[in-house]
Amino acid sequence: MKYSPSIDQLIKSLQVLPGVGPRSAQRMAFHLLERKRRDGLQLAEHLTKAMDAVGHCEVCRNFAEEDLCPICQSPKRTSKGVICVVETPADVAAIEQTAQFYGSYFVLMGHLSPLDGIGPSELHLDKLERRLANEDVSELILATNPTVEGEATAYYIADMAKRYKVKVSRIAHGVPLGGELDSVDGTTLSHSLIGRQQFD
Amino acid sequence: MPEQALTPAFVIHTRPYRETSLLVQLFTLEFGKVSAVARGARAKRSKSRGILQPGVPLLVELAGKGSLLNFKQVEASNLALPLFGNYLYSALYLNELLYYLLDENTAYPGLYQLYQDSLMALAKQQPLEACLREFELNLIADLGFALTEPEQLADGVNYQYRLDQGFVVTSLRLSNVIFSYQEVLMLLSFDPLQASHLACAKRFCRIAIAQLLGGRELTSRKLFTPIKTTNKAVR
Repeated sequence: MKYSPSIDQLIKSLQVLPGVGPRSAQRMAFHLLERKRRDGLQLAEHLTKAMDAVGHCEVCRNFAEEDLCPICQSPKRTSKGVICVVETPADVAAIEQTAQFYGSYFVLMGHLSPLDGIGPSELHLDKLERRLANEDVSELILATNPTVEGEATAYYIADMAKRYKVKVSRIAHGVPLGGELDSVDGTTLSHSLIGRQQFD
Repeated sequence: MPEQALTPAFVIHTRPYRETSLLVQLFTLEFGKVSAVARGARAKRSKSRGILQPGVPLLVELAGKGSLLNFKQVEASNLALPLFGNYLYSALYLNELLYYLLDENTAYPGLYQLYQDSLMALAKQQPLEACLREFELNLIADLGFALTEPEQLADGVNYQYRLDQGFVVTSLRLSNVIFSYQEVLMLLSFDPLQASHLACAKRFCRIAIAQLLGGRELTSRKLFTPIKTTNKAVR
């Protein structure tokens, strides 16, 4: 069915969101127009503000509104000399939630993927190299995903860190908690056997 | 209904599709390069998540018509091949070649076998250059550009390689473009154990593959060299 141009545009625009198709976009648009006019205006305002103001942290490349993100602004976090390399801002959030890590991050915003045209320069690895050269880094933790591309990214960065004589570690992969060995794929299981730890 | 046999396959590339699915480019023994949708492969409890990765020997059953197929069944026939460092980058390079150069839905049984052997060789960390050159030369031949002896093969004559014509006599003097009589002979009887053959084949494959790619640059090649830092203050 045909709607007025503004509604039509709104429905089309809402479909840029992941998992939103024409039906849900239509539902969202009507919901805002019918009941949530004020919230809709606020949403528009916040969207504009965020799209204009949010850029990348100059040090870690995570999303930030100022030159530095809150983590890179904190001397407590940066003085540790430990950098954790992750693929996405969502990975930073996941690691922060564990409350096990007190260093700073470097967010790649992706992984090396030749077939998607993503090479070392697209991931701004020159920025990471500059950090390795200029900061006093004691350890670089590679927390890229355990996929083929994530591994390739980890190797590339590890090579780079070795040139600066920085200690490199890779997060462990293995059986998930509460899982059953039977349902874990063979490659994961063999990784967890190779990386087994002394138990006392 | 007769039971359909599973066909061996390797993943060339995957990309996210819809909310929880994957769009997978496969190199299969039976059908060559095909695209298929793995529904729910990115869901949290998906079993195929870990195996739909490059370097995992698979057995797949595909269904559907047209250019986009569906997975009916997928299982790993073996563990993922352990690929590290330059050997891993090389595997990504082979995948990039297959992705851009193979015709869809055309079986290349000989090349499939060689691809599998090459991945195994990379996993065993056998000499890299020999493995890559062997694959490249066979790929070029399987795409229909097998090397043939030039019409006029004589000592002292230089040749230039053109995809459509093969080796042609040239008066050019550019050392990186021309091949001497001896070099043409080397390429025609390629022996991966000889360093001079490998060096010559590397130069030849670069030229031939560049022509096959028609100007497209391969990103995987950038992985073999350290990144150039733009900041002059850093060494």
